[in-house]
Amino acid sequence: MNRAFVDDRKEKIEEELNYRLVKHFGTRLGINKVEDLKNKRYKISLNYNRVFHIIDDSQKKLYVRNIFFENIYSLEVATPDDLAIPIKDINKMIDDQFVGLREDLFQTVVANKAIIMKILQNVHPTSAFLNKFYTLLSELLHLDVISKQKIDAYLKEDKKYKKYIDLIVSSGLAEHKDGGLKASSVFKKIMDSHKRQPQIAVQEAISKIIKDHYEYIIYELQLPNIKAYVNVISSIYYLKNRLDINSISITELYRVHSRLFDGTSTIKFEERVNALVNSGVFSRLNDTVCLAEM
Amino acid sequence: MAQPFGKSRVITVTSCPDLVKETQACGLNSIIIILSNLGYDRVITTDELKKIFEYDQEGISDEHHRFNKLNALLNDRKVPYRFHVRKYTSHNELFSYLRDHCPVPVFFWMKILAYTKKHYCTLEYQTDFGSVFESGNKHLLLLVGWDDQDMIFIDPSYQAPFVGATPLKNHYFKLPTLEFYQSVTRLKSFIEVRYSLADEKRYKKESLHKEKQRALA
Repeated sequence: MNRAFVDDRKEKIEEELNYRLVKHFGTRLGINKVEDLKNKRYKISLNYNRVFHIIDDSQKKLYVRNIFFENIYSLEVATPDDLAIPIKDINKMIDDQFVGLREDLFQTVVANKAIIMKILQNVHPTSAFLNKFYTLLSELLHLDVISKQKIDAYLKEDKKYKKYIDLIVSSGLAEHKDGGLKASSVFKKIMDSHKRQPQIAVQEAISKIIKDHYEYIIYELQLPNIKAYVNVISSIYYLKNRLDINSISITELYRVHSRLFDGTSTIKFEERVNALVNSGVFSRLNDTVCLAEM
Repeated sequence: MAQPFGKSRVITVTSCPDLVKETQACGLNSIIIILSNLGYDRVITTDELKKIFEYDQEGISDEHHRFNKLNALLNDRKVPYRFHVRKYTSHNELFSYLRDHCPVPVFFWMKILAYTKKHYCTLEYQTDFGSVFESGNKHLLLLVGWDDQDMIFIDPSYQAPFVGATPLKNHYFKLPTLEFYQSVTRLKSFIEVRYSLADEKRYKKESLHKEKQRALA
């Protein structure tokens, strides 16, 4: 009897809370769990859940999907009347979740060696910005070592070389030796697998550095060029892996990209999509694009 | 079952061109449809409504404050109707809020779409819902009538913006009361559209006063 009474009270609390959530915070905040703390207090955890849609005009399809962040906030209440929800704190949590979502996406993209290799090989603006990596790794590739004098000469030319060298060492592609650099066994293994095309070995080494140190390259070395392409690919990854949408019109992909990352101009966005199509990362049919088979 | 408000009733609701063609626009479109059907078409623009409800933003906001803002704007524009999120206890109670030209926006759990989606096949797009039915999100449907078995609704976001020139009435669908209760468990909320005769009289009085002053000038 007692238990039935408690359960009923919990249900009533839940109903009242649902009403108050709708009234005060709209449809995006929902109850995850109501826990009876047995001292006339309840612990409530909340979910963030937003429904959105993607219209694909070319296929006359309307995809309805939702962004869901579980247990975004929890609080204790005695009665539904004291449901005071700190909007700012919750919105900060939602922002953090979006940061996490973006990071998950771009880390998945940069971990895909085939994609990064295709970008390095075919999207030339990104390669140009990675010139210092190409210089150092090509030296290691052909000479096996870079002497201290040569390193000093690089540093005299541009102090930034120090950061590039640190990254190459940190990725296990070279080791410090007598003030200079020596190709590591990891880099030698990569070289051995591309004996006939040594430039591919360098690109593969760079793709490893990008995978290991993507954010450092973007924000510390300030080489943002690759980021623009990675973000476009992340958007299509999001559609494919999270929303189960395999192909999409460029216009709609732009909308998804703008919501996830930034509102770059449509022309710049199209340029990037076309560059990715030409490099074999995307496949395009009329206005629709998808990830290419690799 | 005997209904305290009569055996059946179906009101006529017409669509309007300013509806937002987005599935998450159920709340926004409900307000647009209601104002338009009450004869206050475009008194508040869709853009103004989007701004009031911070429509395109992620995150949450103080919805109660947004409704207060909307009601203040309705007062400024001399519209004698106000919108309030309220609770109900039984479906019969909702019937009492149904008036000519004024459907009742009722909150549902998203799983209602699993039931209602079959009624959306007349639209110009084929809809892929993925797993959205299982989400804990809420959705609004507009109650437009009832009969002795069912409640009658129209969907303000999945149907209304997509019907083109066909009358909205052709797209009304019936929802058995059992399905209704299964889809509103522990939610039981709706938007009351409150008419204020006093405000309407006041607006008329103010307008007459202004006219008189103009005539005197």
